[in-house]
Amino acid sequence: MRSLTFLLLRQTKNRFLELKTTPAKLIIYIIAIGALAYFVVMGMSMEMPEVPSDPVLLKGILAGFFMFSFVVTLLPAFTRGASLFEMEDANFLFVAPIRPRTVLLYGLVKTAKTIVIGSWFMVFQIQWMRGSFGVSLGGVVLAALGYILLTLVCQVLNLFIYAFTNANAKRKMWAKIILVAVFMPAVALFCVAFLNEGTLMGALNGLIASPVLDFTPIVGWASAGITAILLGEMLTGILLLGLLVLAGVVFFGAVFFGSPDYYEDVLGATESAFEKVRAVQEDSAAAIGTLSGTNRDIKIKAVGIGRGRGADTFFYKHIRESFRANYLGLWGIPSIIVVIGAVVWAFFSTGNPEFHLFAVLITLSIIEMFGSGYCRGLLETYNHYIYMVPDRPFTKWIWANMESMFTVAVEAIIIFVATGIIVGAPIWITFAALVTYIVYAFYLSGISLASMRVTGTKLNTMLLLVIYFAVVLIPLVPGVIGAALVFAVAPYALAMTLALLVVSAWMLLVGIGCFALSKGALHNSDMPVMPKI
Amino acid sequence: MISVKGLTKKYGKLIANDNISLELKAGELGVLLGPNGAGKSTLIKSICGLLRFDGSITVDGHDNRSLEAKAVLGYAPEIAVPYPMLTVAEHMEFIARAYRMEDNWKDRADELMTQFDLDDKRNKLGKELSKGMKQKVSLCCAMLPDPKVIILDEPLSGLDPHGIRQLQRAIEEMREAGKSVLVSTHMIDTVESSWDVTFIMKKGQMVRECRRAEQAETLEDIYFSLFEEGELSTDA
Repeated sequence: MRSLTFLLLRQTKNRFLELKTTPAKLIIYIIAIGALAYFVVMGMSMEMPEVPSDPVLLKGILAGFFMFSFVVTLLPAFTRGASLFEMEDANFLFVAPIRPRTVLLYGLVKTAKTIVIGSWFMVFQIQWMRGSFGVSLGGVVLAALGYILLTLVCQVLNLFIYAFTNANAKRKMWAKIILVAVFMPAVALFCVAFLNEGTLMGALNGLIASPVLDFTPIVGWASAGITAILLGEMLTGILLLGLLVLAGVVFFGAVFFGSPDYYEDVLGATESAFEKVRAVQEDSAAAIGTLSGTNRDIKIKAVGIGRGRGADTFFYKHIRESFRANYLGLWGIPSIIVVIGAVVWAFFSTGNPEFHLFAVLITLSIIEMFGSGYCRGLLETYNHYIYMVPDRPFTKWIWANMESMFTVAVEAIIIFVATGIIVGAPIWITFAALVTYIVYAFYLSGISLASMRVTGTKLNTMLLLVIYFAVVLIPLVPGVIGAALVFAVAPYALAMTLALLVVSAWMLLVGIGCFALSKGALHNSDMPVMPKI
Repeated sequence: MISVKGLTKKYGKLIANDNISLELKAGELGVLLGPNGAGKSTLIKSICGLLRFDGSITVDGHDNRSLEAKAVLGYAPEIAVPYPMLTVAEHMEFIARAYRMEDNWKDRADELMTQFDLDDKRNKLGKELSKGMKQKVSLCCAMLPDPKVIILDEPLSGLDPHGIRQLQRAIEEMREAGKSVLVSTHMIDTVESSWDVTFIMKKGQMVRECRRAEQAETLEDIYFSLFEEGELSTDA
């Protein structure tokens, strides 16, 4: 036990000492803490609403978020198990003369530490929680603690499920049935409410106001428990959160006392997680394999790239890879989620259609800014082939990014046409939003290439990632100012359309400029290393 | 074929390659030796045009970043990473198309896949291959365009004994065909019988360059005389 305590404390200490020699990390920490403090101060200075929104709605939001965490944490339980440990733990501790139960406890403490660090983002929610629901800073901290508790219980449940169902199809099936059954009362209530109310929102309201959701294990206990305490219903809150703690203790006890020989159960998950981190952290080229592949089994049907000569071979290769990796060819799960999300959101939108279309455009643009770093074109820069193929660097860049440009264009057409029709937006605004989004994707590609030209490498560390956002956003400022001016003076009916076209024209200009200035970038830069995760 | 003059590569304050110069002629097998962290991979990546550097590098008389140089240069990296969604045969096709090879590339690809025991793996995806198989695919991709200059960074790691023998034969054949081969390796005995020139690095510097014709000692003796008999320590 002493050795494990030493390990935990010394690793934490060394993490802090590391900041002395890695100023980039220190700056990131300072920025993160500064941002956190800023949000807290800003949130606290906000006035409480005179009439706070119904806390039931807050419970619904928390339940939705917790449900997402629940699913994400538990899905690996049926394939590779929980990853409470890291590879160094497996290599050193699993073979050391330390009791497996003690090691399990160590793994849980370590996981708790990671979850606590990861829960800081909850504090950022203070603004809307205070502005809409009148929640204090203490309330937000309570919500963060609830999230930590829920995630920890889910991790333990994950380990429990994996340990007791691993390599046993029948048990696995039963575990799935039980997990689904747990939510059936809530689903049934939702269906009944939908039949009575006739609207999805009405049915959702009925569900989140009902005690059935409150007593839905884990997700319901956590969301309803937190909301109850926020409302001053301490007894109910303690009861529900107590149930959550009890569940965690029971699952942990079952693994702790029932399955001390759990090393094999966690080794698969540990190795799998390690492989991903190793690929991304240690070897730049390996990252392309980790990030552009798929975990599902693939039946090889059509073979061969079929077309291409020189740089355009990258494009045809990407087509083959995409059709093999995704059921829908060029479009993977994230694309489908984005399209469905936009359409569902449009269904529930009421009021000004221009605003809704604009909101979709902004949301998609933010997603694209994060996602563009993981398109096949950019991932090619982590492998040596794109540098070594004897063709002009600019041509290689264009062909390597062609697939993602095409994918984005088709996605944009589907999303904006569908959203425009649903919200009843005029055709010219739909067209302007569509054009803006496609030009924005082109602009991002130009900025990425220009960043390689200027810095000699792809923007890759955490610090440079922060700079990347600045590099993307700052050149937009003149375009946005121009768009704002046009919006102010143009006739109301055309204001939004013209403003979007102005910003599109600006982005097109900047994008072309970036490409023109960066023709040889690919042959004059360092092959980058993937950002650490 | 490969000419490096005054190459310096810095990562911030760290000097990974410090004023390195080397020459490798046609038909020569050059062996790059040195302890871990000596800067061998950085030198190789610089020659292949994957890193920026100060100094000059030419391949077959052309600047190493020119298309002419790229067209005659083959490279197998230290860690082989095939495309996960391409089959072994499709890797060959990709290289053949990207390097604008003539229509007879299929014969050469078949020959290489047979040579490296990849025949029955031709429809396996990159993600399904073992470490050794990935290494073999990477070697085949480097050799497929029949480059005049080939650079192999730790090519033997992960290969089975048969694969090692096949690679040794392939290197020998390329050397006899008048190609320049530069190999970085820690397995000195695997190149003992065929090396022509060795470049020994330490702490980013070239500490010795020996031509076989001028040496009576074995490669192993040359290396260990530097690092184990007090002349240079492997310690940082």
